[in-house]
Amino acid sequence: MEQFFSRLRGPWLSAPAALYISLVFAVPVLWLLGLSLVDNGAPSLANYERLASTPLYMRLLGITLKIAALTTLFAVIGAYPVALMLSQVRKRRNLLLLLVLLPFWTSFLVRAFAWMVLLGRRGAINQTLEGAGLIEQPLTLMYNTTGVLVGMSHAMLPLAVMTMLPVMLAVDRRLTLAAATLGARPGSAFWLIWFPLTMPGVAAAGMLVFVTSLGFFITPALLGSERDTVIVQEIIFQIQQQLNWGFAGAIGVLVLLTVLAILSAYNAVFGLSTLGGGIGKAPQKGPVGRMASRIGTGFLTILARMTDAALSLVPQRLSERGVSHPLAATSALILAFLAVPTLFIVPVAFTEASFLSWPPRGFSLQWFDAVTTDPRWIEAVGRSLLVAILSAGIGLLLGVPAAFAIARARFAAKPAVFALLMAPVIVPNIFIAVGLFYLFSRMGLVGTTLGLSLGHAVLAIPYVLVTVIAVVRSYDERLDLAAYTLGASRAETLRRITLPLIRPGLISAFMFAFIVSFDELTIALFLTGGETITLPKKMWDDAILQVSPELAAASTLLFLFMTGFVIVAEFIRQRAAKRGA
Amino acid sequence: MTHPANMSVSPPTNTIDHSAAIKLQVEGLRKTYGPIVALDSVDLKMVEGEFLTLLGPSGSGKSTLLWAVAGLNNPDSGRIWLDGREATYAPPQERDIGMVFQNYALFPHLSIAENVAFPLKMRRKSGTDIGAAVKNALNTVQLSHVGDRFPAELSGGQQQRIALARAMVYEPSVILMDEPLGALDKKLRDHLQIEIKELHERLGVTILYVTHDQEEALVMSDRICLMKDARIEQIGTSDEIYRRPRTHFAADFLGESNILPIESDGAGVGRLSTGEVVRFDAGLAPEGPLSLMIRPDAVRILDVGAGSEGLDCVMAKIESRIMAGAITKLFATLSDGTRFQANLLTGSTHAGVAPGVSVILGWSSDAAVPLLRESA
Repeated sequence: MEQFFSRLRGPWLSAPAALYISLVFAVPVLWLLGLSLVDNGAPSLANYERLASTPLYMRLLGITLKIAALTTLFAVIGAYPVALMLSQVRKRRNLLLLLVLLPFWTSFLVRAFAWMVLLGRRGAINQTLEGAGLIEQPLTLMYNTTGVLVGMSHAMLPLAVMTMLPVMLAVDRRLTLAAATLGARPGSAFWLIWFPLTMPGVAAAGMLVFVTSLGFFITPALLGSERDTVIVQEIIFQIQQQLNWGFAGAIGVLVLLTVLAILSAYNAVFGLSTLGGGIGKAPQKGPVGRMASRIGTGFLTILARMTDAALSLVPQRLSERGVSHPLAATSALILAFLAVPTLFIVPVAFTEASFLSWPPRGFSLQWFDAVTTDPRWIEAVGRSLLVAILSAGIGLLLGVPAAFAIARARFAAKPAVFALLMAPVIVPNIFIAVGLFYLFSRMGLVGTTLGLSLGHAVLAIPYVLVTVIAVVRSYDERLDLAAYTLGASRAETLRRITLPLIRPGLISAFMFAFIVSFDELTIALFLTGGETITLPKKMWDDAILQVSPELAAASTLLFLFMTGFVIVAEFIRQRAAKRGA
Repeated sequence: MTHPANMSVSPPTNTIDHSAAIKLQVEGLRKTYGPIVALDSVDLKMVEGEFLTLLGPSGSGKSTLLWAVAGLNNPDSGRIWLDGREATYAPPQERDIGMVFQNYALFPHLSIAENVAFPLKMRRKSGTDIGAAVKNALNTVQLSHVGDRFPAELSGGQQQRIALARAMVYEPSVILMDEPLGALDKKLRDHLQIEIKELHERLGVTILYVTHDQEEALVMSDRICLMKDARIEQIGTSDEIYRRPRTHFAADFLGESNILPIESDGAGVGRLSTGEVVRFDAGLAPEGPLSLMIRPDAVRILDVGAGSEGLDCVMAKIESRIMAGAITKLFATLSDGTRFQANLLTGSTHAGVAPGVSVILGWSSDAAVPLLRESA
């Protein structure tokens, strides 16, 4: 035991997690991609020839890229004012942050359903506009690209805010004050100083949203039409309907190459190290970066002069600490866009009718009764809870030692190990799903609780890793040294000093991993089957047939559960932060 | 435009030149943060070319005053004039001030040259003017070779000089400095104190400086504005404040002091608690019960039997002795146990006196300052 703890700082602590991710994630995914090079048992490029020669697939990639690019644009533009506002408020930041965190953790499915209530032909928006006499014919807001973009932007906005916020908080506010004393008007101070300094956050948010959007198919499937089919749906189709693994692998290679191309473009301009939320102290840019920054500066100078000219029309008085009115109004609108739509799922669950309608007809609890008494729902909830607890537990067991290794040990392979452990959140979930399906179907693990838990643990590890690394880094190691000088052994120090102090971090890591699993659909889509389905899978299956009031009732319950869960998690985190752990 | 280096050089001065233009005037300034009063009816005047230091403990209001002058906070009441124009509520960019922040606030994404050029660009100067001025400013702070580097690539002392160059390059009417040397180690701080002082004298710029370090204030300032509890305690030259403090706080905050309660009839003669008689300048004495302040460095040890040499004397016993480099500190007690300190040059005759020895301590009555007595 003592021997084990004496290696607490050693790189070997990351070995179990690395081995696990290699076996359960990297090998199956590579295997699957390798299948694309095989045709009828012999090495062949046939799959790629078909991919290149069929215009359909390039068109699907084009649609996917277009949706991802537009989603990124909207999400980043929408997120910037919110992150800016959050970085400027002090007292109410944690409360306002909850307005971003809640949608961040609210099920994608629930949010997509809510948009269906809002955007449908007879949905809330059309009914309201018609009632007000503003339109004669219902607008087509759903089952087209508009619907997909609204849903996707809504889904990705919180991610963009959460990525930008740490960068903005790290920017010294005195720099804009200094700019003012040097003669910069507010527009110049914003565009020439503040904006460039927050640019790494914007870029990181854009990159993460873009890559996530590329692998996202839930919203396009529910809110789009045939013409909004994204390429991931084609992979699913090839495997589930055509059983054509080789060709699915070829499409997968195409998607991965796209992701890699974006990553390396990002790396060329900003450097991947900025993804961690830190600001490059001295910008170490390549030639591309330098040229981009020169063009950028010219552009920003023009923006600065235009803003200054516009602002000079209204009398300026120094606003001391606090958020300017236009910014407050803008972010309030965006926060409302984030928070309000989901609430529309609640009233429709109380309808007396047997179909979704707006406004809901009468008041009835029958759909809640239906959900809470139907053994299939209860079974699904039970399985989801079990899988979430198991996978979060595995994630913690493997992720915490790895976090210690990454945060404290020095070893040459560290960047590679870190990249490997983080890969499951960068690579679209569909790859994990398909790879595991391929692997587990050989081992008889498909359709079992254990199989799904092992699969979700692949996602849990990176979340645990990031959360715990942050806690371990902020932990003052001198406390351990002090304990040693006071006579405590390494094991005692770990048990009595280190673990109690990082416990809040461990709790939030567990809760993150829990939510990720509880809400996960893609992997569940492949690894569940027959009787063993999880809550998101059950909701998805129902939604494919029809979005019914019963589904709305289930969504309402899920929404309430997640809200309570997130508020408790956030409360624990903030209390820990206050204690200065 | 002319560069600071070409500006007329004003002679170093320790007194206010009343003929010089008033660069900064503050009148009845008040600022509160919620229930906390940060500044209370503050009045201040600065003339061209002056180096004025706001000195005080943390929370005394010195930084609040500086930030109000910079336009970085809104005063509740009172007025501020800069260069003859009222600027109480003018935004910072319209005040024509230069400010050096405590952490320098260099823009991390701009090169050193771009940082120094920033205020000139904001003033829409032409490219050639900017280039020449930046070069000149970097020369002035002896860092002409770092223009292409980024702030993070410079040492703390270099960053400090760049911040100075950036604040001076556009010849603002007043330069404000908010504890600019606070983050540097002692040796570098001493060096930069001299450097800033020299720059000030050479370029004739007007500098309002904030520090909590009394030694720094004494070294650098033409005048010191001592602040306490949101108010100005005393304004004067370094000499005035050190030699003629007007309050207990002023005597205590700048340098070391012996403060002894005395009984006095108000005619310049008083009696210590030991019964010994001491003299002071009755013109300086405030109304009310008095204490007498004597700086330890004004105290001498008299040879027994050599006569008082016209000094006021007390009997004392040496309790302990600390050799602190150039100065040796002797801690003594008077006949009734009152503590008394004398600082002698380590090289002087009596500096080696051993603890336990009884001595006669003397000082010139000029060095004794009557203060209003404060309890404790």
